Amino acid sequence: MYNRLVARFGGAACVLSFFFFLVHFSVLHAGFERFTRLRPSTSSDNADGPTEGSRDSQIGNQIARPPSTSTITRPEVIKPDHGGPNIESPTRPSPASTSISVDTTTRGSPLGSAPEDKIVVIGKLQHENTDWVAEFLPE
Amino acid sequence: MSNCNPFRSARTHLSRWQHAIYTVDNTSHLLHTDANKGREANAYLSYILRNYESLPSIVSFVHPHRDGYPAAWHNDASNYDNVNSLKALNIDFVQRNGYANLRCIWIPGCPDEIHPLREPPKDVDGGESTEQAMASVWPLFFAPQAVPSIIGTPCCAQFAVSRDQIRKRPLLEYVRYHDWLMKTELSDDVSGRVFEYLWHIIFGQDPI
Repeated sequence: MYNRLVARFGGAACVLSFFFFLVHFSVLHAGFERFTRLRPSTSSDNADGPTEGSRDSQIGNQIARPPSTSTITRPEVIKPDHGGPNIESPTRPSPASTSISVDTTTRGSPLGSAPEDKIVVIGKLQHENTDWVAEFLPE
Repeated sequence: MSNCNPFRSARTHLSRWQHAIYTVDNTSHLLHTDANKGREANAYLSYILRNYESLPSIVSFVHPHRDGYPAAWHNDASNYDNVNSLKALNIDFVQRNGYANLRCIWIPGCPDEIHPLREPPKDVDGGESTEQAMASVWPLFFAPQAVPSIIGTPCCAQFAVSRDQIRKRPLLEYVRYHDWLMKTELSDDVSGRVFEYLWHIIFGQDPI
């Protein structure tokens, strides 16, 4: 009777010890792996590609650094020349007229009515009536 | 005729223009030519000479009659109306090309109205011909460029020019043109017509 009882307790203790060992081992193993992931990267770590940390820092640099201007297709800029800015930009269908739009805005004339920038020249005899010019092309 | 309909639009409908109306036969008028000589060419050149340093971006040179037939038959627009011509003018094209004839209809003028070297010359009137006059004027205006064998452009001397295009020739050249116009003994018909077939060349276009 006594022997049988000791044998049962002994068996149970062995099973529990083995189970405890398994649990303890897996916890230790997980802790070791976690330790290896958190260690700082070295140059040799990057041989097969950037780590997450180094990749993040590279992207950050790309965002922070302005792109090279040589790779940008700049819109056409037509500079105003003698006598003031070109006011014809509202009629220009091309989207490449940024600078001209600015010029027009400064004139306060979104419809292109800047009489000082275009002129009709006419030669006439004194008896010829050119009232139509003043009527349809007002100053 | 690259300046014709495909380039026209009504986008300038709301545009407004200044105007400079030169009276050719009354020197008491504020704007006038020194003499009534050389038809519209005199007024056009007078404007350029007096305003060369302060030109607006676009200059349209037109006749005084507004519309109707036959008075305004030169005008290539509905009802021969120069108001419609100017409203339809594509300013953008004038800026790009430097010059635009306001008339698109080829006749008269195209494709080969003037043969300066033709013998005998065509359309001799009173002993004068535009072709002969052109042959003698060309070296005075454009030497060392050789006299072209053919000149053709839609008629009638109404056109728009950009400031930049006008200034591609120095002021002294316009002075020379005007001097010739004032001194020539040719009739106004002929001297005016000589310029009618030279404006497009003066403003950077090919003879044809």
